[in-house]
Amino acid sequence: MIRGAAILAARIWASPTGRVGLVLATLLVGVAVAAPLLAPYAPTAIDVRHRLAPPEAAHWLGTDQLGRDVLSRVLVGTRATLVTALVAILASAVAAAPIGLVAGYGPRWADALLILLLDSLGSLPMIMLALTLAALLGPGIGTVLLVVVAYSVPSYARLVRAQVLGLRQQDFVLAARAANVPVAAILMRHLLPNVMGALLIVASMDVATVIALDTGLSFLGLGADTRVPDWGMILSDGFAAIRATPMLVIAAAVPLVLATLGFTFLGEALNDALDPKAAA
Amino acid sequence: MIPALAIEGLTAFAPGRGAKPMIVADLSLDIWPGELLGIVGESGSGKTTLARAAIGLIRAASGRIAVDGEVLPDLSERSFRRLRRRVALIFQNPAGSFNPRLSVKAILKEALRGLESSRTPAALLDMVGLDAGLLERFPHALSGGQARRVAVARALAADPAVIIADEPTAGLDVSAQGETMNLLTELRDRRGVAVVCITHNLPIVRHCCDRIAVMYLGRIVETGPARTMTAAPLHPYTAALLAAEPAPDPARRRTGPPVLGEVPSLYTRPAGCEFHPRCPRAAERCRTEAPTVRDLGQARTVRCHYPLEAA
Amino acid sequence: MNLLDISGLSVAYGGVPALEAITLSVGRGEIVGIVGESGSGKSTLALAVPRLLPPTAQVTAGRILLDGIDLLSLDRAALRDMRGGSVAMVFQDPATSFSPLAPIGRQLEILNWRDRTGDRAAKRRRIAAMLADVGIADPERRLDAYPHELSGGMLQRIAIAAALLASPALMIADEPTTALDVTTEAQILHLLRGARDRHGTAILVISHQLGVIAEICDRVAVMYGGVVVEEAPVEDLFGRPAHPYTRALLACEPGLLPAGAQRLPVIPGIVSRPTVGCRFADRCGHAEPDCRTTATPVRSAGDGHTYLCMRAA
Repeated sequence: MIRGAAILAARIWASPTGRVGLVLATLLVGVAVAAPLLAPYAPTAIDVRHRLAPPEAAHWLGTDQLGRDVLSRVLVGTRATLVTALVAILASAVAAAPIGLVAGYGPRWADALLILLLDSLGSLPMIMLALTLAALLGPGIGTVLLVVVAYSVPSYARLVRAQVLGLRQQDFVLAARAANVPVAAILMRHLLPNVMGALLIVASMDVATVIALDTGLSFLGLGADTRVPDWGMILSDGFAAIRATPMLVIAAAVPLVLATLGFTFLGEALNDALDPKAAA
Repeated sequence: MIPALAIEGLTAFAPGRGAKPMIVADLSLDIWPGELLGIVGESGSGKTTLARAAIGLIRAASGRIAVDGEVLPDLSERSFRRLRRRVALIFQNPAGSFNPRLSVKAILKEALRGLESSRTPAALLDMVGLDAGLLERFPHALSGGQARRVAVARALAADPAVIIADEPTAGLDVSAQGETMNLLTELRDRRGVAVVCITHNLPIVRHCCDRIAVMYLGRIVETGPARTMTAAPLHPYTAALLAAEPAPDPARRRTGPPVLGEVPSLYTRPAGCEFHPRCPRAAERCRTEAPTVRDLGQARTVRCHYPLEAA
Repeated sequence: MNLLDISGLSVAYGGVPALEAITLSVGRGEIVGIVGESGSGKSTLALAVPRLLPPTAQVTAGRILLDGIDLLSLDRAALRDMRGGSVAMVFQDPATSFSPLAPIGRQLEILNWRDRTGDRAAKRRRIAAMLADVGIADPERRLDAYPHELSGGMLQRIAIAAALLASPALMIADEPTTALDVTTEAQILHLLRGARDRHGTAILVISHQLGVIAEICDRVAVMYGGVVVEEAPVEDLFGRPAHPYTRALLACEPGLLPAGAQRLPVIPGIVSRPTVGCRFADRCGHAEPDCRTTATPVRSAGDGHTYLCMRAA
């Protein structure tokens, strides 16, 4: 198991983009873990005399409307942001994979039914969905996750279904049927591993979308706990103060872009590394 | 003798919605134990669909299938699950018939699962003359010849009575064609399994097979022993196929234009005998009345009103 | 002077040689066949002449003269005049030779961009006449058809018509019948020979099928492992093959074997590429130790009949 992981890491490291992705992802995770030690101030420490200060020696990235240190907020916000994004995406993928598999490989009526449900869900306006869920469940991390899952599942499931429809006519799937391989094994051994690659890449590019979604929800006051900052919250504060200074938006957007790039590169490299042809 | 696989009145349509053309049309065929049968046809003759419908990978609309005399109760997936232990299919592109993410060992193990068999993946490889060292390889790391043998090894897992090989020689060099056909011949000789070789390559089946069935637009138009049929075909279509084959001998070069047109669309099957628009012998009766299968003795059958003379 | 003169042509893909010192000529109005197994380099040769090799391929030595002009030194404009002009290609799979999104007539008009005389209707009439010439019935109507509405045989006829539109001096047909049924194949071969007879077009036919070669070629080159191992007039090659590989190939040919329940002969072993000596030595029944250590000489087996072998035939 450990040896497998080491081989995988070595294969990812072998590609230039994989190296960039691995470095960025490790950096982000490191920051997320060590943020309380790295942050020079408490992220919620208010200093009203120092509102919207420009970058200076005491505050490298300046301060926000309440005089809070932006660098500390970005560093501490990494954890909440990553956890939200990764959990939401993972939950979406886990929910979407079986739906897509059944829709793509199952009987035609099941496909028609699932597509109808997915399309209905997908056609709900995001904002309305978010407002409704927030009104029903109250703001919080759970609401954010649910909104993201509801938003991502239709497109993920459709992706899986499209891949499965292509794969099910391929000779190796027909050969498995001809050899009486049980349906469950066809789904789990033959189809799922071969759709994971596409799902992995799309999901890693979605890190940015999810964080943007989180921003929007924070902006509407429907986001997670306001005492724990995340990048979405900083961006949301930044938009409010954009006429005074762009610093807040930049401070949250740069790590967001880096995170997206890092996870996308890592996703692509991971997909290549999992391909048995990489061993040759 | 009981046929290893008996197909009776099998009809299968193209998948999809709307007007679906009939690809296999009320086809009947017996495959006898220990024979090497060649099914020859051009593209659109329905030979691949026949192979897939016969083991239930494509759902047939109607027909009756019996394995070793045991008739399937219906054409459901459940019935075919039992049949597939006795009838194995080898795909045209062996490398593409393996999951790229599984090793040879995993592929063979999967084929052995659920069988009361003491065979191991290594033993299966041994049966096709491959070394157990290949077990850890992934499909992309196999040579073309190795992949073909692994595909045969997988087909042997359930110890089938019939192996159907779909276009086993397509796209291969002559030497590799020979190796493939010899491997199938060995299976017949050593294991007594019936082998069906579905192909467009008439010279190969003419040389290797015991018996040939010629398919046209989803029907079998002629069957007979390879030697007598190719020496003196009964159906004008068989004769045309034989004549169309370019002779590897410049002295036998054809000078006149070939007369035969093209295979008609499955959406517009000709009335009467479906070959009549291309047939040099077509008469009035052929345009209106569909011929039935006639048994002419000496294991020869033909679906034609006016068959050619048997020599 | 020959129409096409290839001399000492070597091509490598990223340092791995694919063709080595190929020398071959095609006379005006001559049909020359190249026969060989996959990996013999025959398709690389077919693509090297019109300079269509992928960027990963490098021509490391040799010359390709067409009408005395060195194709390897052509500039961009001269290349454009040559491709589809003096040299036309017909590919293996007619289904992928045309775009699925445009009617055949429109695609042929684009391919026929050199034709600048007359209005569009006149150009279409000339295209329709060429379709009629390759045996397409009702050509005016076919111009409006999309590729998916036509059979493979019909599309290959149209591909040949497209190749003939600019009256090329040389047509290169890479496995022109491999994707087709045998009854269609017979028609296409007849058509290719007819094109030569009527238009005087020289044709270089690449095929792995001896039957195709025997049917239409005047002269044949047998390729093995990136070299031409034997070259002869077609009757000589089939009647008196000199190279052991050519003999093995003929012995394996199912069309020459008797009917009924027999094993097929095979050539044992796989293609090897030693730096010195004969490439076929590992699979050859007549090989002696010196075959593997000495440069193989070219021998003559008659008029225009040469082969590459240590042993005399």
